[in-house]
Amino acid sequence: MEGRTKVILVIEDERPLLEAIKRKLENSGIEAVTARSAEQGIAYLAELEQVDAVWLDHYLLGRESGLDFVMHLKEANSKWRSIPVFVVSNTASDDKVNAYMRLGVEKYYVKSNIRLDQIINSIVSHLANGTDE
Amino acid sequence: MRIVDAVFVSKEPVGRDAYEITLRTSVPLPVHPPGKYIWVVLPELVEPDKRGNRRAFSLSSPIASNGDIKIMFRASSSGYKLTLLSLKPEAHVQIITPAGSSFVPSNEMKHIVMIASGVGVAPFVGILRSIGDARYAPYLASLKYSLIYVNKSPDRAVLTEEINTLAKTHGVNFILAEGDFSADLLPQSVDTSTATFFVCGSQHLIEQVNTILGQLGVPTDNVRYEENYPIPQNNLTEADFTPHPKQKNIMLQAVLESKNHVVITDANGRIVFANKQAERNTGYSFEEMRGNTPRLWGGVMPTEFYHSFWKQKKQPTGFDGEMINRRKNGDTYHVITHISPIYDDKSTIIGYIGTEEDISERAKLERQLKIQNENLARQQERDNAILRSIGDGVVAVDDSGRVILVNDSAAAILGIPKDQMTGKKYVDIVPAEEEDGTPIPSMNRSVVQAMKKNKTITTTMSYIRPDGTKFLVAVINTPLIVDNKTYGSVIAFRDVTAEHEIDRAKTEFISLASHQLRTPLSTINWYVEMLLSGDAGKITDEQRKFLEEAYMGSQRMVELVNALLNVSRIESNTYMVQPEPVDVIALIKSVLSELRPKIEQKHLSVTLDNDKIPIISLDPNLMSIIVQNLASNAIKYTPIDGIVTITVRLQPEVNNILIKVHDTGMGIPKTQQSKIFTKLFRADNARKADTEGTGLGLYLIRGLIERAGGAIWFESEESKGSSFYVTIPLAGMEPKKGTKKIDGL
Repeated sequence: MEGRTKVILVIEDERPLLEAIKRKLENSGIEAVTARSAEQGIAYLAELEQVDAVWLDHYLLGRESGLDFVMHLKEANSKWRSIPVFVVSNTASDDKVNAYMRLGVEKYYVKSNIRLDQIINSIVSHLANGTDE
Repeated sequence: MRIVDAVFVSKEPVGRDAYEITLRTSVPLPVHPPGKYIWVVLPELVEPDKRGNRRAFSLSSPIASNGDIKIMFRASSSGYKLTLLSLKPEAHVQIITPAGSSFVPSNEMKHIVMIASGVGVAPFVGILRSIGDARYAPYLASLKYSLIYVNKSPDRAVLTEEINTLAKTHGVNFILAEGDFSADLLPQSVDTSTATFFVCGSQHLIEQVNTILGQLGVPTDNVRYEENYPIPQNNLTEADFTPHPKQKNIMLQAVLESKNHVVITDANGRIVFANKQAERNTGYSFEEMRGNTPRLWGGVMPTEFYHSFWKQKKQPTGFDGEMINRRKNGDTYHVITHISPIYDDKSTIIGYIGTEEDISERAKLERQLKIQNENLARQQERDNAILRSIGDGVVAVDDSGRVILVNDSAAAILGIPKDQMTGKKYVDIVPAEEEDGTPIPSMNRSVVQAMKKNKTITTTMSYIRPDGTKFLVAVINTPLIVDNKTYGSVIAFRDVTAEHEIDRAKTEFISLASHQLRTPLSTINWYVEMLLSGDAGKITDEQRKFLEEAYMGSQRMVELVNALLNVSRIESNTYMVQPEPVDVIALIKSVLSELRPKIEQKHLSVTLDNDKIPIISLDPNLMSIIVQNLASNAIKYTPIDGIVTITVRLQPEVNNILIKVHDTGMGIPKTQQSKIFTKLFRADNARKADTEGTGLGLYLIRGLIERAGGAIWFESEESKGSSFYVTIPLAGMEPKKGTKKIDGL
């Protein structure tokens, strides 16, 4: 949607990374809401009026992982089902990637293999056009 | 028993009222041991005799070459003896033989002591006269003799002169005595415990000898007195089986030649006929059998057996049974024997006919079979014990997939009793799923596929127990196909849930470890990126230089962590191989185009020279990694303006393709070439040139290449360049289940 500032919910357990992501997003004109656990993420979803995308890590604080968060999100009668999810994790094991893709996330990025600005550009493109690049 | 016609020849006085008579038999009697007796039957008596018309006499001479025999007797007034004395030459008599055999010397006897009185000396005269006759040598050789001749008065003795001469000639102790028998008469050389005593004479002598020998402790077995056999009125004789010279007897001939042993005896059991097979079976000739009973080749069975045997054969039903006999040469042999009595028209037994069938061979085979069966049973028991003790589940199915054998472990692991499995289709009683939960249809089950394709199939799947619980199994299916006929298959499975858990734990650990390593690297990378992008403000040139060094260091760490992750996937064999039809040349071109920036940066000349390569079933991800590693190495280690050549050849004769990557780069020093494929190794010249590299690439791709059935090797010279060779089989890569992909670098 044009015009309005995009809001991205960023769920990441590493504080330095969380701050870097927030800084970079805001430099790109996107509002970032940060959470460090799945529970916190769900709580924010309930509070926020508008969430355009979720930036999600796999390993999080608390008992639940990113996968659990996505499962909550995609529950049958959930109103957040259509929010695009971008998984940004350092775990690259195929069973995890496959699990996320099967649940219906938009994309999966391996953190250490990709630059921060590359991720942000990719997400912005997705939100604008519905595709990458 | 034989009846032989004979004629009276002559008579001679040999002492007071004692005569020696010569008879000539129509058929010469066979040579037999001296001491044998005959019956002399007088057809007509001049006077009636209460005792009948036959008497038994010992032969007092060897059988002359013309067949003449001699007997001795003392005259009396009995009708018989009167007739005997009145015989004229050519008068007809009959001889029945044998009549008794107590005075037969045999080689077991140490010293034969003959004791006689009066005409009782006749058999001993017969013996003495036979010593020295070559025909009697087998019976008389090397025996020691003594003769004690005791008479009430000298005139009662007969032929003393002849006896004396014979005794001297043949080294026989001859003691002539008057009056009564006494122990003093025995020569010194006689050992009373081992000598055999023949006693023939008056009742008085016999009683005396009996008492004295008894006092001397002579065993009763060693003392022989005259012994005659009774002749029943009706009896079979040898003559009944002797073919008449003028008449052909086909029946007799047939029986003689029959392959069944046939022996006929008289009512007393004495052998009167034996056919050739009987001679062959027993080892005795008929001549040797004559006068004996079939006990000649018996005596092996226990006494009770013979008692029952004799009783049964007298019954009309006769005797049928198995027994063990002994041949002449001492060998025992196993027979089935049938004996039945022969009746005259008055229902009196006049003889017996017996057959024997040698079943020694069969008995031997039966024994062998029994031992073999016992061995087999033992072996079977051992195999069963082994099968029982195998920890893995083992199930054998027939060609229709029905269970024919289940071991204890299988029943235990599956939770199904053995008897509920046998006969049923395995795939029905043990449903299975893929590891991800997809049910496997019956025809896709590995047991079915193994038999269909005649291939051993090893796979992993989940079995489902009757109670619904699932567990992971490693299964090996081995089909049993011989000469194109499918007999069935053997399924061996192992519960690998635990192993799987351990593997998963290891994999999870590696995953977690790499994540933990990557996270701080990401932090460094992103912050440095932000600095370099000016997100924290403008930076000086020197600051940029420092930041770029830091960034490169961090990048190297990331590459290393990625490579280590791949290595762990290779080593734990958890990586997957997903083959697809791949155009190798297209793949190589695609890899090269990705590397174009670096190639152009160094002004390298890169050429691809290839044969037409067919589509090969390969995992494109892994193949790309292999090609990319070799190509990027060539590019990395070749200086500016260098040349890289990639050649691809089809080698149908060895069923592979050969990829050669040649560069004009720094090469590998000879001293370090042996380490090139080892983990984390980088040659000195590479490190000196500051080129980047993890030292894991070649280790990694060698693992991939070799597991795909290919090979990798190289030639290199420092400062000249290197050529790396890789072969990939035309058959391509086998699919492999795994949890991970190898990451591209």
